Amino acid sequence: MPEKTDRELVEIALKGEKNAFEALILRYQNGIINYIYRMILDMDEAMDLAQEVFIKAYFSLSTYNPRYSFSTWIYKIASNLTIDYLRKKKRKDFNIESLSFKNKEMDIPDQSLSPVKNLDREMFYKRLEEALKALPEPLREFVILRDINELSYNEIAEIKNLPIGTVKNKIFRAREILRKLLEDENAP
Amino acid sequence: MHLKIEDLYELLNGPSEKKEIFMKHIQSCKKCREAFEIRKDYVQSLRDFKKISAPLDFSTEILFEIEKRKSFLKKISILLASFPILISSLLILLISISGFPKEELSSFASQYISFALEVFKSMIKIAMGINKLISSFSEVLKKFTSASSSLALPIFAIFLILTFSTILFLILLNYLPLKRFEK
Repeated sequence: MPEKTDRELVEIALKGEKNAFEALILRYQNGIINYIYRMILDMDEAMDLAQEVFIKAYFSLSTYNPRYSFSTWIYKIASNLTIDYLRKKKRKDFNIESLSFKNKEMDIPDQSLSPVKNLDREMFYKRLEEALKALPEPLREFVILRDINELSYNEIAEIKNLPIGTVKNKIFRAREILRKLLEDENAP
Repeated sequence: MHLKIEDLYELLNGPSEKKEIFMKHIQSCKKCREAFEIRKDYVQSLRDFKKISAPLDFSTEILFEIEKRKSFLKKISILLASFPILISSLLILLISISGFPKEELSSFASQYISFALEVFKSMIKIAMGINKLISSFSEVLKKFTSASSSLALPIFAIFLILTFSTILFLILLNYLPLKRFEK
């Protein structure tokens, strides 16, 4: 028997079928938890916030427009709640937004400095996590959605209500800042 | 001339018009090839980043929390429905103690009560078919309201309260997703 689509599950859930909504939770829970955790960097809070995302989705299920994908809708809720949370927490990130890479001719780093190749995996991921923390929130969100959650540019553009060109630009900037942060750490 | 950083990422973004041109350049330019490889490694390492898995009871906990909130919302809706009663009572009290022209209000109230009684009477007639009982009941009420205009005001208030409460309660029931998960 073919697996039900998200839209079918939403329709069934709206009729009061508990299992259909549970199936939607199971389908998206890992993605949402990972996204929130990488954004707020606190596991307990991430779990609570992820729970809140699904509860909010349940109570707003009747407002879901089936013309759009459910994944975009649920990530939009997650993004809004996470940004609200971070705003309340007023985390202070250092300002590296001003660093511009636009139209800059590439710098070609010395391959010997590449931490991807030089560090052992565990150490590398620890550093990567630190570098992610150091990224300003607005950019971090884009790189998480694209490279960790592996959403498409179109999906991210829909979630963030931005033109696809802006999304691509933000992702490229975030990746470059991340790379620079890691290479700086690795420099002798 | 080397490629720009955006161009290198464009290559990682899947098929595009420029991809073929960039690929040709990369094959012939060592520096660009190296720069591309580094970026490819970074993006790949982000994708391989350790993923967190949800606890086994994550979905069960959410469903439990939803049930809890639904029950809370039910209680709130009942409280909200009783809110107009309090406000109406307060208004009546204020009208009574202020110098409001009670005669005018009483005349309007008497008309409203007569109309409401007619509607009430018709509904009960259809539903129960016990005309005599209704007639005598409405006669008693009419006697009360015509005998003393001071009685018209409180009866009018009761009708208003009941009307507002019912409307608000129906609105709340319609808006709150209380019927879900009752299976």
